[in-house]
Amino acid sequence: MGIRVDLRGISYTYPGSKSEAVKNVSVTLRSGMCYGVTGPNGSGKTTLLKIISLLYKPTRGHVLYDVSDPWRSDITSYRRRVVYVHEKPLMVRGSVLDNLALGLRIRGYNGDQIKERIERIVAKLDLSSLLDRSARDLSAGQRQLVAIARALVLDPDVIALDEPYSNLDFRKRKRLSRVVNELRGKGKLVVISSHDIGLLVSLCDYIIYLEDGGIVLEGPAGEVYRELLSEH
Amino acid sequence: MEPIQNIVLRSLTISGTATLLAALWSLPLAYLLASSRRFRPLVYFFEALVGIPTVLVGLLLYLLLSRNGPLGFLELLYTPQAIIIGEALLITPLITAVSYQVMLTGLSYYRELALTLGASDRQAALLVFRETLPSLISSVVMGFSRAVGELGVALIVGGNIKGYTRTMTTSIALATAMGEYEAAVKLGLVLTAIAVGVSLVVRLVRREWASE
Repeated sequence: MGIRVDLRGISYTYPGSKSEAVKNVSVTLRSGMCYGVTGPNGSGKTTLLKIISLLYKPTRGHVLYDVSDPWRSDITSYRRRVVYVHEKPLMVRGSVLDNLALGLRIRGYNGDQIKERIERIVAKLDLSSLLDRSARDLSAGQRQLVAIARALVLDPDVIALDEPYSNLDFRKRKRLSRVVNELRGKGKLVVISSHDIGLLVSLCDYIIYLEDGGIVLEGPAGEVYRELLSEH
Repeated sequence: MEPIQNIVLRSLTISGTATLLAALWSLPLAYLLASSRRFRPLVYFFEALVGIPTVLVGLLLYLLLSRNGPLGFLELLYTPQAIIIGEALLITPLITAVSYQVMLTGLSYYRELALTLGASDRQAALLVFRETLPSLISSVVMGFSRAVGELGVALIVGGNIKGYTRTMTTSIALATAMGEYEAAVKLGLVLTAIAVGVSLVVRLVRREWASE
């Protein structure tokens, strides 16, 4: 079943800070679509992704999953529908396999289910040669791909990828783009933040351009791209 | 003079128990302090108490445990239990303050990771504990080193009773006062060897852990 995420006038201020990192953002995100979030450094891209992923509770406004406010309900059950992949992913102690199984273990899956899910994603992202390696010895690009695989094995409705291409070489980028397209085809909601507007245009249906925490431009990818080109 | 191995064993038992006791409340306390900004002012309090003089802790505990004190009915004064309580209180600020810093970093990384993978608050806390365990062990070992090397508490509430509450540090003080310098130096060397040995073991454990 599809999902709709509504951001209604959300703002976010980091604890101890006086200025808002995200200001009065309203946008509706629908399943089966890929949304690109872009903007200069410090424009609030990561904060917005973390709000969508229910890691940060907005200081003003509401996030609605379908019609419910997860923050007024059982937040853990809603968090299990969304996964956020950090720009610089953290690996826990142990092998790549341990890391891939982490979320599934947390959610109480049994050994066979874990194996089956991991095998499927590992084949898709071509990670089988890394499974037994210590996760902390991986290169930045390998870590990024493992973190994305760790998210995908959970089969979330919403997947938020923070600068997912920043450490990937050409082949890995291509592989990831294929996966993103597949996810969209399966009716998942994909949100990607990136500085690379060209990449977002090629991958996403809709682009949100942030500046100083607020949306200054949004719309279908092609339109936003043309607008940005004409401005600069 | 009592056989040195008895004194060493007693010291290790007393300080080890005190350390376990202190870790039992200091680690959850550190997690609480790190996970809520409301409790942050308490961190400064614990940090300030890290260097509290051992004789002051000994004196305060003496006043509490002495026959006319509020806890005199427990009849703990001049017992190993009194030293254990005193040392546990002495090292609580140290373990709490160091563990707080470890958990603050751990929470900012691992808690978020756990939550995004669908963990409940309890599961997230367990992951933070698991991933920061080597550093937490180090903070507990620091506490043990301070406990085993302190003199004030052991002397004031333990009373340095031969065969009962005599520890390595009180023995060194006594031997020095009696001019038995050879015995004092011997115990001092044992004390140093324990501190160095424990530190080496911890370093080894951390290295093994990191390479996993």
